[in-house]
Amino acid sequence: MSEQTDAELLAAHCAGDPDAFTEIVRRHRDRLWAVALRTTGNREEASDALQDALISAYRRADSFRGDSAVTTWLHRIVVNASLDRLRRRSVRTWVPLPDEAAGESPATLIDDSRLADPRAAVESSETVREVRDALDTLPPDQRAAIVLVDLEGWSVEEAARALDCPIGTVKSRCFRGRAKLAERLAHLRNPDAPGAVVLPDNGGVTVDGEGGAP
Amino acid sequence: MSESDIGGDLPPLDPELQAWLSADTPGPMPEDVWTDLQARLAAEPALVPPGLVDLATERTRRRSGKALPLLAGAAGLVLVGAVVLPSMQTSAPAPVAEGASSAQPDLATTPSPQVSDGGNVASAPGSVGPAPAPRTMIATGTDYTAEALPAQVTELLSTAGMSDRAAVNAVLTASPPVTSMPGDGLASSVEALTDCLGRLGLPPESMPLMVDRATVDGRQGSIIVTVGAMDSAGQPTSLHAVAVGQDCTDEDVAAAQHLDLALP
Repeated sequence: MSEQTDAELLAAHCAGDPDAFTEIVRRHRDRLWAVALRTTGNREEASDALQDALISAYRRADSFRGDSAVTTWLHRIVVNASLDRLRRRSVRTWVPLPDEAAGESPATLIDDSRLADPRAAVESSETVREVRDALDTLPPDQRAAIVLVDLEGWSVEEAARALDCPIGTVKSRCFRGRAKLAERLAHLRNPDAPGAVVLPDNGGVTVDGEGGAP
Repeated sequence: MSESDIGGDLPPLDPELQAWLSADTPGPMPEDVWTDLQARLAAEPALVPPGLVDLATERTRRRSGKALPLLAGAAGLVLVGAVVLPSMQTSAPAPVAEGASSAQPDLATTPSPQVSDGGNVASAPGSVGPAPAPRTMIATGTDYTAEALPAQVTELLSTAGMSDRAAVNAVLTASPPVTSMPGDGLASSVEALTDCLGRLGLPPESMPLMVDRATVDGRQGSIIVTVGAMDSAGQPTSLHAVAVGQDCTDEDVAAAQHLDLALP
């Protein structure tokens, strides 16, 4: 079975092979999990979203037309299931951006001694938590675009297909999401590091209809 | 916030922002998540290809009384095994149906098959013929019709103990093909059956499981049941049944009724 391609396994699944679909999932489970976890930001929701998505894909396998790779199709379903959960959750909770929040600066959460070395900062669990919190503040669509393009390394075109939106929209979502993340994480910045984060100033990007990043 | 498309290339991600984002690596899927997911997938019924009759569903429907009563009554059922080895011809009682597993829930609701004693008997282990020979020959006397074909074939398979994957696999692995065929026309020889299967457009590697000599829309004919598809482990997942006139003429082939059945 392991010699079969994903497309062959999916065809076998459609023909009634009860094990073929699980084999496809087994091959790609870690990447599917990463996308679900990063998109939802929550282990339980990621698990639920993944199950919803893959059961749906199992049942709708005969709708796969082969115009993309099987993995792209699966990721698309996982991303959309994760987004559904994220949107539902975002109705319930919304963490304001730093500039919208009153009160102390989140910089107080950081051990400044570790910021002298960016790598130390990166390795810090505090940084991980900060990054997760920052991602959590993004609107679901921006978050999904950031996850696919900036974290999973998809091309903008692939992400647009998965998210079922125009390429320009993905770029816009990434651009705005990055700007918010940079702002939200600015206190982690090491001013001496080469290539330190600079808040986006539309460098090379034309935004139609809006005046740059919010 | 309203959304707009942007032109130009998306600038590369800032290295420091990339480093921050990369710091949070999800790692592999946790084992408990994978276990739950496998269990959910395993609980899902296998996909039934379009046009395929789901045997489990069909049996449920039939038991609910919506299907025609078929093959019932004492008039009916004569199971004719294939041919015994010469050494078994006179002494050994013919098996009820070669390949029939012990798990045959529907057999209890149908008259016990009787083995004919007119020379149309039984199969034997050890005498393995070429693949096109069926595992079982049956003469039920059923009049198969297009409308009732799914229910009739479902009943036939149930009667023969071939109603699920395990049972069919048991037939394939435990019962040898018959070594000669007692009927007329397509059921007169392995060669005639092989020829008919080819004329019906079934692939050369089709594996016949059973031939039921009966009538089709009132004319003498047969139901030929073959293995439709197998999974990657070589287990049958579906069967294919054809109702065809006994002589398998061009007219018979044109009028043949085909049916795919998904095995539960």
